[in-house]
Amino acid sequence: MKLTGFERNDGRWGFRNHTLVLPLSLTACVAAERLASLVPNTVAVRHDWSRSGALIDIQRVERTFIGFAAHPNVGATLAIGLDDEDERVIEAVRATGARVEFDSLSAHGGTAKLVESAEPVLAGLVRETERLARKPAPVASICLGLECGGSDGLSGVTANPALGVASDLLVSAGGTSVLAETSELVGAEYLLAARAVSDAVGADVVAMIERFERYAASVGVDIRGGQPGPGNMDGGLSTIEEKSLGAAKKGGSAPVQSVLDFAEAPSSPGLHVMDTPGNDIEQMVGMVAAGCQIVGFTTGRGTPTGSPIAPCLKIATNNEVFRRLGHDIDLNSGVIIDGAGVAEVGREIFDAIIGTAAGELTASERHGHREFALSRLEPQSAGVRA
Amino acid sequence: MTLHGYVRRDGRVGARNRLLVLPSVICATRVAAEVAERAGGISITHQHGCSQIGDDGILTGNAFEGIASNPNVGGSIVVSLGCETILGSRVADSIASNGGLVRFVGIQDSGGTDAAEEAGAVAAAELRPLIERIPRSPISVDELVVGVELSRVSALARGFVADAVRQGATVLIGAEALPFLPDPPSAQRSFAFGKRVRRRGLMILEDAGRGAEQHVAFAAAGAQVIVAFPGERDGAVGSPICPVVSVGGSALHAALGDDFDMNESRTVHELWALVSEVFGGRASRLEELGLSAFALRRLERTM
Repeated sequence: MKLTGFERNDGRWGFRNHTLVLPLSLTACVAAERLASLVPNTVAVRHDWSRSGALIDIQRVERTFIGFAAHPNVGATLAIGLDDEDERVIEAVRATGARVEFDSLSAHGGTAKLVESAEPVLAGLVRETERLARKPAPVASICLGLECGGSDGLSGVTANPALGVASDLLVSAGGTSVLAETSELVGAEYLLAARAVSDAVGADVVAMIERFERYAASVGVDIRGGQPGPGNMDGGLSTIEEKSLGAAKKGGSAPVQSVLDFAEAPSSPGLHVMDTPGNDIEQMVGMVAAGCQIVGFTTGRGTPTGSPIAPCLKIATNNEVFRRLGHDIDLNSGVIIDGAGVAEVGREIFDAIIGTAAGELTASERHGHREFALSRLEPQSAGVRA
Repeated sequence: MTLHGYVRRDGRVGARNRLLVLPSVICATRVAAEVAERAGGISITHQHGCSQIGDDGILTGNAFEGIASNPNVGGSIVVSLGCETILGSRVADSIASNGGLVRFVGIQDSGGTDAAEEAGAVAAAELRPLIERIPRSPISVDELVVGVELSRVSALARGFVADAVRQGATVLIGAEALPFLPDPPSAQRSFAFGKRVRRRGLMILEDAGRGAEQHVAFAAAGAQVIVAFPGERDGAVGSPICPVVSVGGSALHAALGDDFDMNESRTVHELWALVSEVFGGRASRLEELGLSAFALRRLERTM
């Protein structure tokens, strides 16, 4: 299939053309949802950010907001703040050349009047967004997020290696891939470090895992004992190392170019490793905020989730889950157990990535799944105000 | 003024009679929202339930069980994915063992999003008549449990707390607000997050969190109504479980005036009268506007 997309001002390509309503605080979330329900072809996110926390978390959250509002899959964004102070974040979005409007609850005396006033603005943004047409796009413009959730004993044998093949195909075509989920790379750090483009990057990979293990120990958890989760164990996984060695296979065999901070955009093509939680949604939000336009998501137990702005292609690790939850899953790699080749299924996943990027809807998009979460590093800190 | 409320099987009294559709994990929020919308219930779009460790996971589990066991909830449906850390089946079992009316829907068990939505609709159809047959009855002011968010303390806030306790209501406040009550009413007792309040008077909630996070703590403790004095840079935020009466005072609050019930220049008597009316069924301003939000205290990073 021929790849098509939406060419953006900053040179990136989008594979969806969303109009996003982005609330910048908890108090603005209902207004954002209401606007998205009033104006067709828009999407809102919901979160629980109250504009205070540790400085490191303020930066993390703002990076996430900026990454979403300036995302290549987003044609235009209407950001809703509580007051004018929230507009500071939006200046950074404007600086990227992305189309964004800002309004606040306090400028209108409250929620109802804001919604009334912003509705025509949002409708105008949708009209602007929809003026842009798809055109042929280079495969090298794809940035793919790699994810596994609800893993089972077959994840590391079927779907993850097959997704790794697809990632390698993308990287060899000049594209970009992001491997993440720090908690699920514990035990695989030296394998990844050995593939790093330099000793310094290799040391970054090892340091990222050590930092995570130190944190887990500091809160009284031996992560090598505390993972895998109950669903993983029911699915046949015995230890975090077993889960990790399988999880890392999503990254294929390409060299590791760099270690990225949460929601940090890759600065070169190729495979990158991002420091994110293993939590499915927090991870997906981090990869998408970094610019991934599409996510390849393997699942053994079956999970229906998606992103508000990026298509999420679900790949079953086993025939049983594909049969039972087929409406929520796009592809089945369980056929590898029946004798299909990993390379062959990997090529099928790659083709599906191209087809999805070109406009075919994924199962999670058809069902309206658009989960969103903001992760924090120091959730208890009263810290400073954003 | 005579108060009327929904008397529950355990003797507690609700100010509302809600059907709660509670996702035990973020992955189930979409199905829960769909089930609630079709059934006229309320759901909660939250970010929790998976990859949570230690005390943080325990706090989330306690919060889920607590809010579903709040007397404003006539019945609940727990929607689970099936592989989450805070297993929905366990949450549902705990709600049932607290005497709550509850049904369980598993997305993986049912066979996916569409099938789970169907199962949720069946569960809601079973629960609806059981919930709706409970009438409002006259109750004593002793049964009233009010959570007071004191992110901003004023003469009205101090006067309201003292007056509510004097009238016999139980008042919950966060521990960090105590120093701002120079002459606190006597008989303070403290209790922990997620624990149901079983004694009367002024109760101090240890570690209640900040701002709207306190609303979840109050709801889990059994408050029927929340009176919020939000911080000067925060707006008015409602709760899915409890009607929230919000009182403004700062310049920002004035600029958001339409979302508030009153400002702090009003009298204790006026605030008490409004709280009584809201208990009896009048919608608070945030309820009228449909402004409900959910922010749960986090103790640790998610893994």
